[in-house]
Order: sequence, then C-alpha cells, then structure tokens
Amino acid sequence: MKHAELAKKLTNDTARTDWHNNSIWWQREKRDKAAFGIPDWELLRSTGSAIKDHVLDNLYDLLLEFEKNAILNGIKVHWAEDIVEHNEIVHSILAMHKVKKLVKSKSMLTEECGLNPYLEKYGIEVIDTDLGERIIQLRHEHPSHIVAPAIHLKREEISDTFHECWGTEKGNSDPQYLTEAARQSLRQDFMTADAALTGVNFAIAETGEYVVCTNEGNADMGAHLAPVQIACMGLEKIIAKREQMSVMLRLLARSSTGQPITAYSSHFKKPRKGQELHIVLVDNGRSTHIHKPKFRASLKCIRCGACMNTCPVYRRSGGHSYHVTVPGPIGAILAPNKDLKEYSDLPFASTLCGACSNVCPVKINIHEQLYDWRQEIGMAGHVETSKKIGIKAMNFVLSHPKVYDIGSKIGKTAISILPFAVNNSLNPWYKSREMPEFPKESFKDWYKKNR
Amino acid sequence: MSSREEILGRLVSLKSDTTIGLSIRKMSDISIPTFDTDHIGDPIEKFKEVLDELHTEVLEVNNLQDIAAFVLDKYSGKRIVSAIAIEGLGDSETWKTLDPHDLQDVEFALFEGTLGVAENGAIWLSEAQMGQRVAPFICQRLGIIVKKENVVPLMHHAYKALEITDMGFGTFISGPSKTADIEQSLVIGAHGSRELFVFLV
Repeated sequence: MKHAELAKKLTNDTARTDWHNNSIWWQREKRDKAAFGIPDWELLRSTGSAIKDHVLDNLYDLLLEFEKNAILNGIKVHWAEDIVEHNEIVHSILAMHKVKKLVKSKSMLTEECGLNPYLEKYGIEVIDTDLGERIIQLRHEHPSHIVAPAIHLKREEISDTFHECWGTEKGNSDPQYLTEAARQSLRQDFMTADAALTGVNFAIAETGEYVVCTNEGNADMGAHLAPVQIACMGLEKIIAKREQMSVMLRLLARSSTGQPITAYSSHFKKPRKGQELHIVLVDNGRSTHIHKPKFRASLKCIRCGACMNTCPVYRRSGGHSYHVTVPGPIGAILAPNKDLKEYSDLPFASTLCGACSNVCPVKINIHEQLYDWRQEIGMAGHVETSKKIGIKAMNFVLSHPKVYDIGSKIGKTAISILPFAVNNSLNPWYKSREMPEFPKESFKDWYKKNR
Repeated sequence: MSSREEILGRLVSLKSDTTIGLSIRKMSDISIPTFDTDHIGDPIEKFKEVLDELHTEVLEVNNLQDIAAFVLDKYSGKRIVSAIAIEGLGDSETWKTLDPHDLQDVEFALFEGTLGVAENGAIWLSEAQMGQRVAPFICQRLGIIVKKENVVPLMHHAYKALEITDMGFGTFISGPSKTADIEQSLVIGAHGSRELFVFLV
C-alpha cells in the first residue's frame, strides 16, 4: 500500500488527526524556543553542516582512522555489507557468549535491519528499553517517529497494553504511574541481560570513541551492567574531531525535543574492565548512495526528527503511512535510494513547502531533493497512473490557451449551477475541504475591461 | 574480498569522483568559529537557572561537611555510596570493585564532576570520577559536586577543557533521567536517577 492509502488510517478520524497534528506541532514549537535562545543559531547550523559535508567528502579516510583508534582502545570492529551480514555478525557475537537475553537501546539502524525478529528466531529474547520502543514492542508495532516511537498512541491505549502485559491497574493511564511500571519491569531486564546493544549518535574518528544520547539512561543501564556490549552504526555517523561534538550536541537535542541537551550524552571509548565491546559498521547501500551528487547530502542526517515535526504532511498522516523505518521528509528522500519503485510514492507525500530544510540542523536541502526524486521517479516510469493522467491533462490544458479559456468558463458555470459536480467524494481535492467560491469573471476578462 | 574491503573500495573512489562536482573539503576548511557567550551572562547564574528548569536542585555549600550533613539528613539508613572520601558518608572505596549489579539497591550516590556547562546544565563525569560506570545511572538519587571555578559558558569550552583527560568512558549528565514517551507528558525518573542534586562549592 502507498502513502495516501496508508494515511487514511489516521485521516479518517478527524479528531485524532487534529490531536496528532497538535502534539507534533508542539515539538516544533519547543524546537523554535530552544533554537532562538541562541543568538548565533544559524552560525551553529552552518558549522554543523560543514562538519558533516567534510565527513561525506572524507569518509574513506575517517572510517580508517576511526577503525584504527577503536582497535587501539580495545574495541572489536566489524564491517557489514548489508542487513543480512549485520544480523549475522550480531548473532555470532551473541551466540559465542551464549546470550539468552539482550537489552537494546534505541537504534533506528537495527530497526532498518529487522534485527529483533532475526534474533528471536534463534531463541534470543530481545528487550527494547527505551520506553517508547518498549511500548510498541509490546504492541507488535513499528515506531512512527524516530525520536518518539510511540507518539501515535494515546495514554489509554498504552495503559491497556501495560495492563495486559504487566498487570498494571486497569484504566489507570497516568503517565507517571505507567512510566514507573516500565521502570520496575525494565530494571529486572537490565539486571538479568547477558548483553546490551546500543545505537550510535556520533562516532569520533580522532579518538575511536562513540557517543550515545538518551534522556532515560537506558543505554547506560544496559551497557554498564552487561558483560558484552555491541554498538551498531551506519557508516555516516562518523565525525572527524572530538571538539566537533560541541557543535553537534548543541544542535541535536534543541532540534529534536527543544531541550538544551539530552539528560545523558555518554562517550564510550574503551570496554569496561572484563567486558567485551564490539562495533558493527553497516553499509547497507550507503557507499553507493554517497556517489549520487543530487542525493548524497541526505547522509548528513543526525536523526533529530525536526523535519517530521515541522512537516504538514507528516503531522497529519502519521509515521506509519510512510511504510519505511525512517518516516517524514528525511525518510522520503532516504528511502528511494534503497528501492526507487517501492518508495516511489514517498517524495510525493510533501507540499514542497521547504519547512523541513529550514529547520534541519545540518542544512540538508530536503525539499529540493524531494523535487529531484520526483523527476527520477517520473523518468523511471514509477509515477502512479492517476497522477500521470492528471499531470498530462494539466499539461495539455495549460499549453493550449483556448482550451483553458473554455474549460474555465465551463467550470465556473458548472459550479454555480451544479455545486455537487465538484463537491463530491470523487474529487480528491474535496476531501477534508470545501471548494472555494469561484469569481464571476476570469482574470483575463477583468484585465480586458480594466487595463 | 571481505566486506570491509568491498565497502572501502567503493568509498576510496570518492576522492577522485568528479561527478560530485565539489572540491574535497579539508579539515582546515571547517574550523569551529568563536560563538557568542554574551547571551549566557554570568555562567554560574545561568548554570543554576538552567538546572532549575531541568528539575535539578542546586545547593550552594561551603564545604564537604555541609554535603554530608544534607545527605545523611535525607538518606540515613539507606544505602549511600560516595566516590570521594567524606567523613561520615562511609566507605568510598570497596564498592568500586564490586560486580556492578551489586549496586542496584543504592539509594544515593555522590560524585565530583569535572566541569559544568552554563548553557545546558550538563556536568561531565569521567570514568575515574564515577568509581563504577553504572553508579551514576543505577542509583535512585544522584548528587554531583561542581566547583564554581569549573563552570564554563558553552559546550565548546567544555570540550576544550576535557582535551587533557584520557578516559575509557565519560558522560555529560544534565538533570535526572526522564521521558516523555507517553503522550509527551514529562515524567521524571525513567531508568536512571529519579533526582539530581548539584552541590556548588
């Protein structure tokens, strides 16, 4: 199913669409407040952008430098060509240590790789420890937002899930009460896990260390208790110098949740005494993607989620309508790199308003790439038939002035006599909106009279 | 060929890829500019103000004994660990070599941070200052001592000051652990500490 079809799940419920829209917009407002608290925010953004541009240009050298330093730090470094190899590597580490229970902190990459179902096949229990991720794991859903995975759910639904899974009080949907229940349950998991897996926010070539940011402290609880620790990262998470972290950390949380910084920004450099520490560097198409001049900049993304919080389409269609791990504007320009046909609908799920590019902390030209993808998709013949017919008809009408004149006259007359001819459910523009009142005369007629 | 060689093989050609249409940016092209500090005002005042917004209690104290008195008053009878030796607060050494799981019932843990950052209330703790990596996360309540002279305005100053410290692990902590994953309602006390006390000396 395609985006427009999937979006109906949310848009068919107007009250819920409004609720979703407002709660996501609130994130955007918090971001604005945090960003404008820094007078040279734009200088910070352009510095962040330059840091990541430099990474793309020098990824080969930086990966080698990172690998060398990480090994010196006592970290075991693995390289994975694709999803399959990533999952095999993680499983082989866990199998070697006879791991029965793995605690995981948030990682969009392992979501992309479908790691949980893969490991479960081998009888390994995987516990997602970020509260939002735990909620959707218990409900057998996927995240709908990269920062707030359960943002599509209402507290009553979460309460029902916890009641069924953990026996919390039925009908008690107080977030404080529900969070405490999750804390108690997950503490037991942290205490009994044989291994911990985290994502990576930034990996520093200069020092061979990596940084993980959380508010809950779940990455640290897992990593510092378990005897085996694994961190999985896409190749593009590298930055060159440690001092650059100062720029990235100032940008990340402010753009993401409007906080000045996350509660924890942990820098992992060496395994703890007696512990084993692994890093898996995952390509999965990135080394091909980086060669595409028009689209490579999307690899600068630091996964803050600001573009989805600001996007009028995401806010009203919800993350699940994007049928891909990373939703929203950034997802819509990342996904076609993986499979142009499968994700050919996503670059059209946008108004091209440009709000995404305006808030991006590393200045990715998201809306321009959305437009460029549309050209690619058109050339590859993947545009939906209905859209193609519409665009062809529009092209014909707009390039033949006589046809346009006649058409607009017929249209105006038709609407005044038979309003339901356009105000009906067969007209997609009528859905969720009233058609405007048409003026009595066309601009052309008016101009003739008044010039 | 191994995946490593395959991946690197595809990336090495970036260096000579003219279709990208850009000159390869060098390290010297991306130096970090000097950022505005005027908006911070007095760093210590700003630090206190931000921490207050981050649900952290800041206490100005004169000496370590003040801290001990505060901690004992609140948590006496419960398990307290301190990474630095303070008279009255008990053992500051043996817990550091326990299995980390053995710290699960710690009610209050006390550490001294390297520095504090005014713009975001973040406090740097190095592995050496933690005693055990898990200690500042697993405790129910957390206390961190910060010397006023070690409060810097921005993150850039913090990383500059941290250059000299070698470490296996380190973290910036700003406030108690928290989540807003249920309908964006802020709840303090997710998986880490439920409260943070910052002792300014």
